[in-house]
Amino acid sequence: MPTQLKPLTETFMAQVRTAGITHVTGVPDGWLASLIRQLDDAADITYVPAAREEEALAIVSGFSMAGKKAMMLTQNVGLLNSLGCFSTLCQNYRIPFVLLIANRGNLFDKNSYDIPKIRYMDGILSAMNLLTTSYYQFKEEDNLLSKMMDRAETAQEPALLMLDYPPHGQTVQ
Amino acid sequence: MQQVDIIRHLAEAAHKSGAIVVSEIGSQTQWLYSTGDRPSHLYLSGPMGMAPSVALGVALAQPSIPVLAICGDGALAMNLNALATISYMAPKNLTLAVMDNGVYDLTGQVPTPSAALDYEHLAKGLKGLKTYTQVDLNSQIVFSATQGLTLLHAKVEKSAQKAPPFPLQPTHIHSRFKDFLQTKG
Repeated sequence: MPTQLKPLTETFMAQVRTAGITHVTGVPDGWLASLIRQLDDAADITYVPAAREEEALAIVSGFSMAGKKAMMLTQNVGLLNSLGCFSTLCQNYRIPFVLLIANRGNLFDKNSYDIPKIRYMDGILSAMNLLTTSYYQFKEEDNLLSKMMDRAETAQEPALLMLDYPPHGQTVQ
Repeated sequence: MQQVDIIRHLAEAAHKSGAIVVSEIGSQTQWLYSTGDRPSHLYLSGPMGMAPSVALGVALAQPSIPVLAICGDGALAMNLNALATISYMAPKNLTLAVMDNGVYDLTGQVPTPSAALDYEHLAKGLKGLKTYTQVDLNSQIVFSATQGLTLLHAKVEKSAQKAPPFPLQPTHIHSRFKDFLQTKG
């Protein structure tokens, strides 16, 4: 596992604020749980715990179209659940936001049920020609989240940020 | 009561109240457009069921502006879990209006499953909801940013005519809506 970055939850909240992100929604994954707790506790950030990922895509679209810098959290299979919404709402309306994806199913995942998720995710990302960035390929000083938000706004589309490994210090689930 | 008439009634009340209107893909967007196009209208063109959730995002992002989501009963049934999320967040400036004719109006008027729903009882189970009202063309409707989360239910007939075509493109709707919000300051 790359070690350039500190544990996700120690650094990510600072990156959220530096990027100007004030509105977040999502559906949990074990890798994201600590981050979600911090987002939910933060007085300066609105966090909406959505019941399903398709719904979360619509909520983050509302945030963005109403002028806020916004982010959504999901597991990869949550995006697979929601491709109709992603294409007909997020892409058709050209909505910029950061989509943080726990990309389950690689060699760090021991659950057999996670393996199909990354297989089909890889196929869908390719078929839809979606650009992705891997979080752990960057260093702390790269200020990655701000760059992702800038990319989303420049391209006028969601910017996909992949967590390809469990956060440091967290048991592989 | 025809859907177009109650949508016109709601849209006029929204305009007088300075409210944003988010409309569901299909007959709600098409009838709303036919009653008068406004930059405060955020028309959706897919997928079905997302109007309440988009409206939730808009309402939380712009808490000083009233927001109305106009939904069909079939579309709402497709995203009924949104009611749990909306009730949890309970934005005071959000109103959901359900146009209930029991059919998918633009899809051959085949039945929706919502005939099995009692909206008044459903509303009683939503802890964040402040007001539930059955509305018609005689209802006095005002939207405010402080009124509390509201659910309006309108029993409407199957449309006698097809809703007129909707010509606007999603990117135009999006950019125009953002411009509108900037003018609101």
